[in-house]
Amino acid sequence: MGLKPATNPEVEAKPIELTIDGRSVSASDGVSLYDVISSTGKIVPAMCYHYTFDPFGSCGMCLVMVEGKKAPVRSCTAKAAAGMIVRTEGDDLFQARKKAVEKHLSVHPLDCPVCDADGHCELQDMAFQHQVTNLANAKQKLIPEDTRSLVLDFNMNRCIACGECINVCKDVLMIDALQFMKKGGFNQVVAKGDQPLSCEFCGDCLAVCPVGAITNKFSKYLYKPWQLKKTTTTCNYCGDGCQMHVETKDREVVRVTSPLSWKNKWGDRSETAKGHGGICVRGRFGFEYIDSTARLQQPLMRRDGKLVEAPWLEAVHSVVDRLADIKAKHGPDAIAGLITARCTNEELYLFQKLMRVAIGTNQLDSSARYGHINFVRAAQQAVGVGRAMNDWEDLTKAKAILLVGSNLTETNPLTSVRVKDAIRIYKAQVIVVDSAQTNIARLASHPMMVKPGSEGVFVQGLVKSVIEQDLIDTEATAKYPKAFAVLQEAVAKLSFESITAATGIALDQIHEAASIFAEAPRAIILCAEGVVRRPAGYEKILSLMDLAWITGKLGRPGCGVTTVTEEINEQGAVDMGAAPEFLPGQAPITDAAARDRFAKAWGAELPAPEKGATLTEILKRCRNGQIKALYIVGENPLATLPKSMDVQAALKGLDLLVCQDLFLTETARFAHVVLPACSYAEKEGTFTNLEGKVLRIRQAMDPVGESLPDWHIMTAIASGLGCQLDYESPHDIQREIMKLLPGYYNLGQPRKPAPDPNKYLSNGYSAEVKARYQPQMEAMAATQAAKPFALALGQLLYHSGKLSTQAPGLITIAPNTGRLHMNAKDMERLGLTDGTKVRVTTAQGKLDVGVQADLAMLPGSCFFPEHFNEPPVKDLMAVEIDRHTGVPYFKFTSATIQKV
Amino acid sequence: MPPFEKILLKNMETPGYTGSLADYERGGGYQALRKVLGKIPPAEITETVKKSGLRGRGGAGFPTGVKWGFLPKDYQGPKYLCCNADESEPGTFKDRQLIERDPHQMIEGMLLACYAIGVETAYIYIRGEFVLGAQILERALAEARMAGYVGQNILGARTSINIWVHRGAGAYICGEETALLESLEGKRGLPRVKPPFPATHGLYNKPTVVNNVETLANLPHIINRGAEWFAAIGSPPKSSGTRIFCVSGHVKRPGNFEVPMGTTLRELIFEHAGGMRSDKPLKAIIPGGASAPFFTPEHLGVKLDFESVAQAGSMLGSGGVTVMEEGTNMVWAALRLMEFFYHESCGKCTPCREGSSWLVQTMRRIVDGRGRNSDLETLVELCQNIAGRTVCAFGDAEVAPIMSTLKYWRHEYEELIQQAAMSAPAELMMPVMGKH
Ligand SMILES: Cc1cc2nc3c(=O)[nH]c(=O)nc-3n(C[C@H](O)[C@H](O)[C@H](O)COP(=O)(O)O)c2cc1C
Ligand code: SF4
Ligand code: SF4
Ligand code: SF4
Ligand code: FES
Repeated sequence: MGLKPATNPEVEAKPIELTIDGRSVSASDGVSLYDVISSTGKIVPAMCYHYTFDPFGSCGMCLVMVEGKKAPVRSCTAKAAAGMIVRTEGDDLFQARKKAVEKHLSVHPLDCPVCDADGHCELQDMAFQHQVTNLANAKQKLIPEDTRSLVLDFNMNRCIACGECINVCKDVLMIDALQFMKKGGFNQVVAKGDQPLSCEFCGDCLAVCPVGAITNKFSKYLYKPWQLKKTTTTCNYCGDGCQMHVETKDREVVRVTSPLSWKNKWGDRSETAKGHGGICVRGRFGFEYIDSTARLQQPLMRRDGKLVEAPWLEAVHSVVDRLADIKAKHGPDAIAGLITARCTNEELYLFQKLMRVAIGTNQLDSSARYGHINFVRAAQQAVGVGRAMNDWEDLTKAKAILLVGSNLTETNPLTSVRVKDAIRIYKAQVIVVDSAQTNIARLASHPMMVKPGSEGVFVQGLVKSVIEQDLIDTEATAKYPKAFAVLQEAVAKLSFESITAATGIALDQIHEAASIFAEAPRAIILCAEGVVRRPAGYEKILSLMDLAWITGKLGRPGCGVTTVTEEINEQGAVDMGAAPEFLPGQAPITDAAARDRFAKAWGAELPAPEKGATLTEILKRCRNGQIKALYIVGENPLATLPKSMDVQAALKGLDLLVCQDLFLTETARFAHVVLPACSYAEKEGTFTNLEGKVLRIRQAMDPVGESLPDWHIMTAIASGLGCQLDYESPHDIQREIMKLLPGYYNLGQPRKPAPDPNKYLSNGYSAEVKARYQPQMEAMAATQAAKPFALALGQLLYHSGKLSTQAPGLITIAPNTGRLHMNAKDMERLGLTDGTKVRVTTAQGKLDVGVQADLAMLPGSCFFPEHFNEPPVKDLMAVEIDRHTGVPYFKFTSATIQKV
Repeated sequence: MPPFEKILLKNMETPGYTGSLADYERGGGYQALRKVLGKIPPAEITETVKKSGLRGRGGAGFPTGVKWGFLPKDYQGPKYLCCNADESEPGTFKDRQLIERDPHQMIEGMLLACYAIGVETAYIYIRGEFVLGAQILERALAEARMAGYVGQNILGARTSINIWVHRGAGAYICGEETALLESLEGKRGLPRVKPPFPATHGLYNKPTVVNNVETLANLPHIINRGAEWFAAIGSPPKSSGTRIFCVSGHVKRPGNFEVPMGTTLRELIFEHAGGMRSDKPLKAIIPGGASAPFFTPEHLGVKLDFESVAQAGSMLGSGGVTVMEEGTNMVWAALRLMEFFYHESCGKCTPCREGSSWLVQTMRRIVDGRGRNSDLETLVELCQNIAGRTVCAFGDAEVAPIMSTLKYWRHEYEELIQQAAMSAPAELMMPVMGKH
């Protein structure tokens, strides 16, 4: 609704001229007059306005005089028109606005001394600005505070009914969890239906509330805004890499706030395509792990079988001595390293340098191996750029978005807001291919609820449909007739009958999806965990590349194939070379020229490429005794991988296990030395988000206990091993990276690579394309018959990896229920109710677990959050290792379920 | 002027008329529908309605045919018609009678409107308290469905029109057309910012026409007897047709009276409504529902048509005429109306929400004999800061009673305040120690 959508990229807005306070101003026809006024730098008070949503027009503050009109008009809901003569100042307007402020104060509790917003309150500002001095009319509403929600408290005595909270939730986030309600004679904000608020808890409503009516349960009454030190940094949870402000008092994080705020209410609506400034529940409420008492305060060393505290010097010496010893005795390849993609670019770079130069091994890997590396490798192979091709603006302005295997609102909430904007403002058609009824599927124009595990088959169907419906972009295919012929031939072997049988999607729906995608001028494919972390992930991504190629979407502006990541710096981890197959800058380790260049720069010889090992190979070599020492930075393979990987045996056989972490993780309990590391709030550095933006993190507080930043520890170890590094800060490392990878630090700008399929289509393509269009139905049908339930491990909105389970706020919102999520009909059929125990049996074993109904689950599928191991559902998973990329697949299996 | 013949109330005033389908058909009912369906192109109906000069009877008086013309041409996808039967304006009770006594008349009107603008789904949004009305409409719709007037392929033609009754939940604001749409969508009835107007972004964001019951009830007659016939009634060219005026208050014979537009207030009150109920003379008149500014006896000569009433400083509004005799306390009357508006403000706009509460406080103080000299200024200031500064026209409406009583009966306010000053007990005027 409303006036604003002058944001439609299809429509060129007509330029007009109008006069504001005697100055001639140019603007676009039909946009909000208020926006035009504020674009000239004039700030007219506005208490119900925020540029991120359509004007609400309720507060009566934004009054201006328009020539020809007797009475003042509300500029937010008025449209700018050619020739308008507008006056924004004057005593009459001042008095009128003052009246509006007085009205608010007439029913305000004026409990400023105990209000969280004191000193950061638009009502205070406006009262001051308009010289309201007489409060004789103030009356109390005496509404009891609504503290029923887990996260937000509503003090409706303070509410000025500006509606900003409701509008941001409804318009921007499309969650629509709040409403006005007249209760006890007063208009109040309540959760829909006056229930306890239970929503996505992004807290954007809290951010835009201009007074202290909505408060944060985790920080209420703990501060006065002016006591807080505000540090702008990047969130360390998911790959969205949101900017946020960590606000600290002494050594305590008090709250996290977002750039979205009632304070930042002026802006250009079309700019929200780059992000609206909000953050999600994890960013806003998941900060308490930082100063958690469970944080490691001091290094630990194993003495007489027990981990005991030790001074840093002793711990580092011991690590260095033992590594040197093992290297001398068994050679460098007796040592390996794993690192988390939550480390900074500088640390990831340093890690691989430590492994490759100081130790001399290529046995190193990061958590990008759990899936993102599939995307990097496939994109490298197909188009020569190992990263997502699109930024948020592309997504927002796309006309068609094909989302495959992505529970986007849960895994990457802010990227999902871009897709929502695409739906709401730009009227995009969104095709969601998934086997769960996700939130984004509910908003999509074309939800395709495929049978579990058949996303890949559906994509095959799309490719076939594009070819057979003749939706191909002949310009794109004509350049590579041979490649296209092979693809045609491969696809011809597939039958639509078996595709529709395997996916459960009718043929006309497949055709419709194909034509929507093919015919859209700007179309993007976004694939995520349901593709990259499931069997044949690498090949499925290549099929998506095929689809993009034959429809002409490779290289066309605003089009592309894109992904999102679970951990913030998975892209950075690959870019920095924390993978056995890549040197920094994704230079293949086998590339002689690149090897030469880095060898020279580092003044060292590089380890032979063929001896490299990925995560699972490293664990295997630990088990068989080849590897004797393992250095783990922030990773927790024991808690992540299923039992069948026998991680425990691998760790137990080691001569030296060094774990560097914030917490004493399951893995760290087996360590010989544990080194306490700083969180992202205690150090400097950069992350690379999924758009390829290199974003800064800034130190917000002193390190907890004696913990040190990872880069600091790694520098010390490398130097101890004789590889003299003289980094005194992350900036020194940055300088080195800048020299080796010019342009990598892009000052937070999205990276728009130019995908070029030429090399692939003209060379290796024909040889491998057939393999990925093999019919897969028979195998699937067979397992489905024997084990009728699809069991998936996946992410919840409220958590990220295992890290967030250390944040009390997030655990309050989403504790481990220890229950398997199931479809309600299935439960009914099996005679189950919430909490009933079932026996889940897979090829790997069986487990008894309670169940709970979940609206997102389709019949025949069940889900357990991967963040929790109690009960250890993950141990029911078989592990399959991708033959191309070494990615271990263990998020999905078939099972039988019986009531016990 | 030719001898006047009632149009809308004619059927129901026929002795023995029950409002059943049979009765309605006997009086020529559904002939208009039969006449046009599949025979006259829809666009021609809209033209006829435009030519008839019919204007909305819901309050704003917008030309009906012109409103229909705002629907986007060649729109693919659903469009809607909503019959506004929320009639909640104090002093207005004409729609209720049209619904309860002759439901098929308005249903036929709705069918004609649907046909003209290409709507297949129409809703009657009926005031929650009209329980009987809703039952009668449901029954009438059932009859009409059985007879093939409503439903798939009506009267065997290719046109399908469904009509559904939706009951409101008792909020005055849901009579405002965009609040009505919100409520119909299942949300809280808060008015939307206009533009965009319902004609382009209405129910479920689809092109929608909202028309009042009385407006729609006129349509069968216009189709049957022609635009020229209708255009000649009343005071053409701007106020054609009749109006049903709901006369209430201190008159002998309160009730609904259908008269040609342009009839004077004097005639309406003293001839149709039988004059004042006692020997007390007339003191005040609200000519168009609670939202219309007051008139005084000097205005008895004003003709009841859109232009004349507006020129005289009020509005024809919903046709609710409330008559008050000498002795009525005008400040009290204004307070009573203000309390209604305060209660019914939806709360969206600050000026309206807080302003109405502030106005009530101030008015109550004056009426209770605790008024202050500055109060009159406060009242004016508050009113001036509500009107024109709100999302919907409620803001303009709610200040009418106070502003117009202040204009004509300011002395009554002043007297109350003076009395307050004189009779105020000493302890109110100066602080007294030791008292609690
Ligand atoms: C506060 C408010 C209340 C209203 N209540 C009613 C009502 O009860 N019935 C009605 O028909 N129109 C009501 N209206 C007018 C409608 O908004 C709308 O103009 C009308 O339904 C259009 O129909 P018409 O063109 O046939 O008059 C109200 C308007 C306002 C601002
Ligand atoms: S926390 Fe987010 S989802 Fe929940 S009500 Fe507020 S804005 Fe809506
Ligand atoms: S809670 Fe805050 S944001 Fe929401 S309406 Fe009230 S004052 Fe505005
Ligand atoms: S003017 Fe009053 S009734 Fe109308 S939208 Fe605003 S608050 Fe609601
Ligand atoms: S900012 Fe325009 S009415 Fe509130």
